[in-house]
Amino acid sequence: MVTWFLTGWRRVEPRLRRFALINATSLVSATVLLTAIYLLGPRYTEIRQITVVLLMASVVMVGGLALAPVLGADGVTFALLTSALIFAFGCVWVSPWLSPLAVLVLLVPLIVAYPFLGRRTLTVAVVVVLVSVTATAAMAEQRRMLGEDFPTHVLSLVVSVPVVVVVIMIVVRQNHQELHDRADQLRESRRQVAQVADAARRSLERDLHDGAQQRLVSMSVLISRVRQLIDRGDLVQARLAVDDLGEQNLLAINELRELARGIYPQLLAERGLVAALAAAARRSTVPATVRAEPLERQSQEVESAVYFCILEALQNAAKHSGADQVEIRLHGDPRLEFAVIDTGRGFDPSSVEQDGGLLGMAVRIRAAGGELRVESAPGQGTAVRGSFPGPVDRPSAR
Amino acid sequence: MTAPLRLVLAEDGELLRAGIVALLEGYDDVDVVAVATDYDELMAAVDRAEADVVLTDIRMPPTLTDEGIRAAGHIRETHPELGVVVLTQYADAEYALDLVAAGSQGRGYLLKERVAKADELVAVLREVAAGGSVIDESVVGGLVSAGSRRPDSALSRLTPRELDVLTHVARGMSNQAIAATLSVTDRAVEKHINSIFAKLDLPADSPLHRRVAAALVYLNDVGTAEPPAGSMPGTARW
Repeated sequence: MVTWFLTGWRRVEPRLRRFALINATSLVSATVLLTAIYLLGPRYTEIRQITVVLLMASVVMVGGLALAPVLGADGVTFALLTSALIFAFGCVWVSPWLSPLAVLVLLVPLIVAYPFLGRRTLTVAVVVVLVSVTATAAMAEQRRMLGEDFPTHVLSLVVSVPVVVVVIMIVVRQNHQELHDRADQLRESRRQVAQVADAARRSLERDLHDGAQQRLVSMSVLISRVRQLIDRGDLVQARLAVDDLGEQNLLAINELRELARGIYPQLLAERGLVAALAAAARRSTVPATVRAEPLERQSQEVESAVYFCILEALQNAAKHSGADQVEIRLHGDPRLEFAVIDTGRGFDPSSVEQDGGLLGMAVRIRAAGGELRVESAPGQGTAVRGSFPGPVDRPSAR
Repeated sequence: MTAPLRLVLAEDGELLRAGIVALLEGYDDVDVVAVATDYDELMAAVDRAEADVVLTDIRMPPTLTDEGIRAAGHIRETHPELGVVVLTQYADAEYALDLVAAGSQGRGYLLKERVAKADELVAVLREVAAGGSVIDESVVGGLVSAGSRRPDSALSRLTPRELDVLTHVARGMSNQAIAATLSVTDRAVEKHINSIFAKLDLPADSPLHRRVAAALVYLNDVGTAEPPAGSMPGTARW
């Protein structure tokens, strides 16, 4: 039960979680405080009314938190919204002068939660907020006409304005900081992606230049030789040279085939990750096993990132680990995760320079929206694990 | 002399198409009766031409993916007697397995560069037209070497000679052909095959056109087979 709650609770975005907790805590402590003031000090009707309002808001907020594992981010957001709604209506009922503040309070949950909401939930939330704002303003007009005790309102304004201003300032600054951080990350990852792509192009150029091109050049030399031999009437030698040409040609075809597969394997494009990885595992110099659940096709970006990352991990294992077998794991439910695990000699990840193959792998996976971890220690084998956020329908995941 | 082989050629690359036609003109016993450049043309030509065998590129318009394999599947239904040889640039076994999934009778899977050896190409066309099977040696070779690299693989229980025989079986060769290649008697080949199929738990009495697929599937599985349970750390967690 406890674990179930904690797991569900952790699925909610940390920032939303934090805000919900702060909100619940302040509502509950305000309720307790006001109850104490009312019981010990001046028994104003307004204080009693506000206390009741706060109590209701607290109950809704705490209830929303308790149901968070079931309802997720949407549930937490609506708990925030409803508690803000009760608070705003209640305050304005007690003191119509507070209506501008109540309107601001109503906007806060939306400001905090909008990055974590799906499109539909967002639409509903916006409508709810706008209707509530209008209703709050209308109610304030209605209540103001009844004529109220002026000093009480001044007092409530003096107390609540600074609080609301501080809360909104914190929220806005947090969002601002978050946007900045994300922009920095994007700039950095764009730079790295460009770097990695350049390196790949350079190595491709080298392979083409040293391999197929060299061979074709040498074939053109052989062709002139054949021409000479034929002119001279030495058909026996010419025939031998043509046989040689045929062999060189086959080698060039093979080299180009390997190169084409390295650029983008046809199997990956047509059959997806599992088929392409099975073929890669068969070609691997160290015996490799693919343990995969049937997997839906992913976006091309994700498939190629995962494929080339696993390929690189496989080659690293073959080159450096000394392992006698490697296992590739892949599953797509509830989210896409993969792992390349070997039983080899392992290494200390902090001792490896972060600009080589490992960085390239991480950059590719991150650029496709995932995360990559390398777990290893001398004598412990190595596990390269990648994961992508769950079923992607939220704007924040893009 | 036997009647000329009636061949339908499907290849979208103009150079290669003209080259193959020119090459086959040197053979009196092969008639190129129709030429197609995409999937639909191939299907129309097959319906029209009363051919013995089709030689088709794997990758043609409209989708440039695996038209050749799909054409072979379709032809199995509409013209069960017609042989199909698929030319491919991919040495991956996956496509070959698809080709023989519904039986390997009258099916061939060759790497494109094999057309350069015209004599061998014509021999393959004849074999496939007669209902035989031919899987490119480099495809089967890739599977066998992947399987043999595993220390725990069932292939390690085979003798080198048995591994040779299994490779030839997967390539589609008949017992007689294997016997001729290895310079042994038919009887010896049969004994090898019985021993192999027993060691690998394959049904020994499969008809020829089934045992090719069985051997290929077996080799394909053994190349990426699961290791014994518990041999890898961290099985329980991700």
